[in-house]
Amino acid sequence: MNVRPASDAERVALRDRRLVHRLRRGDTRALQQVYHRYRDDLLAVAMSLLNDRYAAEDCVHDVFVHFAAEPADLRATKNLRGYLLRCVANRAKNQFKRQQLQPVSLGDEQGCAGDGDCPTHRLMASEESTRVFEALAQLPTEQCEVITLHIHGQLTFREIADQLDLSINTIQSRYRYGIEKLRALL
Amino acid sequence: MKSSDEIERIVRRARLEADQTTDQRVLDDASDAMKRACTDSRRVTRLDIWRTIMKNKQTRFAAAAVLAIVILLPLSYGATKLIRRFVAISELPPIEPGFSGLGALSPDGKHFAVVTENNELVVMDTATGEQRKIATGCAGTVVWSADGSEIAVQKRDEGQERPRVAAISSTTGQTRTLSPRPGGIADWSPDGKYLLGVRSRANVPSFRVVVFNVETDERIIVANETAVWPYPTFSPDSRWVSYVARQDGRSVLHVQEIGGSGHVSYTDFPGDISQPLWSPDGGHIIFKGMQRGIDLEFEDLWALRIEGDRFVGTPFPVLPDVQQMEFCNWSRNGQLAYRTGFRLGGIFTLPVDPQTGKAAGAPRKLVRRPGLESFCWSPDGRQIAVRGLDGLSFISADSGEKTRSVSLPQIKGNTGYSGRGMSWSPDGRWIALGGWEGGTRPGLFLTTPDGSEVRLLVALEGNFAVNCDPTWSSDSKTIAYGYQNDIYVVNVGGGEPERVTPPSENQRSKSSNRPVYMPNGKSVAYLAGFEEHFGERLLATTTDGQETRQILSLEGKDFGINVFDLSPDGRYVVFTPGDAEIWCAPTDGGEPFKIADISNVGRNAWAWMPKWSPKGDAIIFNVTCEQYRYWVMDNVLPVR
Repeated sequence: MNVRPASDAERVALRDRRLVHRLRRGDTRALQQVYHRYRDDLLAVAMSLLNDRYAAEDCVHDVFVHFAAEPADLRATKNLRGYLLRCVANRAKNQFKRQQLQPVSLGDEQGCAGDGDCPTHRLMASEESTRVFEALAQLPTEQCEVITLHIHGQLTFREIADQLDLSINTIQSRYRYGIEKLRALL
Repeated sequence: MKSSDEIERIVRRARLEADQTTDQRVLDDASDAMKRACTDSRRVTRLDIWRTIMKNKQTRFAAAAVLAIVILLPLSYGATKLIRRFVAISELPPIEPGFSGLGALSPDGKHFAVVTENNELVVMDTATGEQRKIATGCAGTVVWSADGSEIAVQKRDEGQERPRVAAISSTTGQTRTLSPRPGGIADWSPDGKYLLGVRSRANVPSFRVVVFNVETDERIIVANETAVWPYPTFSPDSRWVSYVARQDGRSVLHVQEIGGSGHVSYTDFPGDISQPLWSPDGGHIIFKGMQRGIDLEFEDLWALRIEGDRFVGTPFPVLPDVQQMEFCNWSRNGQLAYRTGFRLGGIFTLPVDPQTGKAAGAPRKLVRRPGLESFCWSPDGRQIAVRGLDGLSFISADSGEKTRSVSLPQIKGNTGYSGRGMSWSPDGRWIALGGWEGGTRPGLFLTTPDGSEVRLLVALEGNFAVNCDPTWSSDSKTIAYGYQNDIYVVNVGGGEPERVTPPSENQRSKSSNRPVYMPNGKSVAYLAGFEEHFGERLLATTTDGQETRQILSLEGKDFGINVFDLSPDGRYVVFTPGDAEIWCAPTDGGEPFKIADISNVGRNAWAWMPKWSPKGDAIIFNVTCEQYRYWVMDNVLPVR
């Protein structure tokens, strides 16, 4: 009998299913594994959308706490990575909208975004990363979201389309336009 | 400028590095949240599991099957049979607005089609409850094609006077004509070649079963006079038609070959048969069987095996107590669709001030009862006589308690409809009502309140002639009644009826009906109108037909008159517009005013047939309120 070796995607899916199972049983070590496995991607997505290291950190923090508090939500989760990325992206977008509605003064925390010398900062970004995030921040949110989910989140266009309930053509268009703009900005 | 690939690489390299403090904060908070959640979730885990199981039909059935296996497997003898006997019932999501028809389940059981009260054909996904409106102007029974791609229904197109039978695509709503003939359909043969219809004939309170060839429009009369509603259906192989008839006092189940001589009937059921349906494999016919007991009726679901052109064995009971179940169809996937209804209506009483015509209290349900059977006050205002299919019942006007009943076999109709309107003579000697003499000939009858004497006063023609709304003059000597869009009066002591309403050039479009004798006994009030203006005006014409005057006009109002009555002194009209409201209006031209609203009885509640008490201090009226729920049943037939 020929046994087809599992693909990388299948292995990840299997590993995630085990993690989800452990999470639902309240295993905090599983929670740590999930966090360390996906933290960087989640932070990158949040940062891309918010261009604010503190806001990005808070966003990931909130998503993780919510994620840990409602293990029942995980039953329908087939793709843990995609699920977390979608949560972070949604929360970041909502946060971004709220920020846009609020008047911003120079003294606000927003002014510290990207400032590596800020004494209270807990995140360190390289100069290039800062520049990239600033460029991403200049894109329309929809384009930024697709680019960051695809590049940082490593989601396929099909997965993004499914998660955002949009056609794959729309997703590809947004990605293409976004990359074109980044070419001009970087 | 950099290439797209280079841009992607740059973006990919862009990272933030979280420090340990950040990690610790996130993980501490998340761990705390998880512990709290787990503590809470243990409390609801059992309920959660139960909810998950009950979430959809498949898991429910699976859980039931598992339970059955766990319980029954140890019982080695007959375990398999018992498991197979498990009947699964699930409710379909509700359809808004309410339904006007029975509806039908698609052959695969995934969709349910029904005509709503707005005459829209709606298709519902039985799993999600999602509804799609696919056609308008529809009415009556809906039937799915064998492949589930089309739905046959009676449809009236905009601007068209006559409806047609149309096949409507269940996905696109595209329509094609199956038959240009008007009239409802009962079934569509699985091979798509034939339609089944039930037709009535003038002056014959009976029914025909007719098969229409869709291609040639040729008609085949399968049964001529069934005497009862025949509930015809096609067999799954399209060769046979089953129907019910009443012959020699017995209820008979017939199976007739289409265009052939094959025929078989079952005559031995000790009761009344209705709603026969073929099983998807054509091996059984199930039907509702009603059997009379002493002070009790048993209505159960029965099944009779059929092989080719012969019945095998005797009917066996399948489900008990199916009185409230109306069967829609038995789809090819084996699911039996049916509906049950809460009938929340009844006879209500409303106290009123005789001087002002205004309500003196809230409406009160006197007695709960379904349907729209007629009723009237006794002359002393202490009793209410209520019409039933078998005769009359008398209830207390105060408590609603039944005091006695009277059987009237002489005028019992066999079509399940007793006629509209009844009236008790002011001298208390007679009650006038419509009915069928010998069960077949329509007429206006008089009966003594104890049922000891019943006589035909006027012979009428036409099935709907029994809706004659008789009304007594104050001296108890004459009766006015509605008949063929005119008002007539007839002397109780003898003589020919005389028409009261003046002739019209356009007699067909004229409508004068629902008469009420004016208190002076010299003229009759009635609802008058032409075509769409029906329900706008009340006129009163002297019994010699010489003088007509208007006593109420609702022209320009957004409501009309459906049924009305006069106060004993003739100063007020009480009327129902055909919804949940009851209105009153002075007959001297004053503005109408609302006196009651029975919306709180339930959704779609509507009031009708108000009757002012002889003393003028109360109004009784009927309320209809039916709320339906639709169900599907799997594994209908028990293993034998």
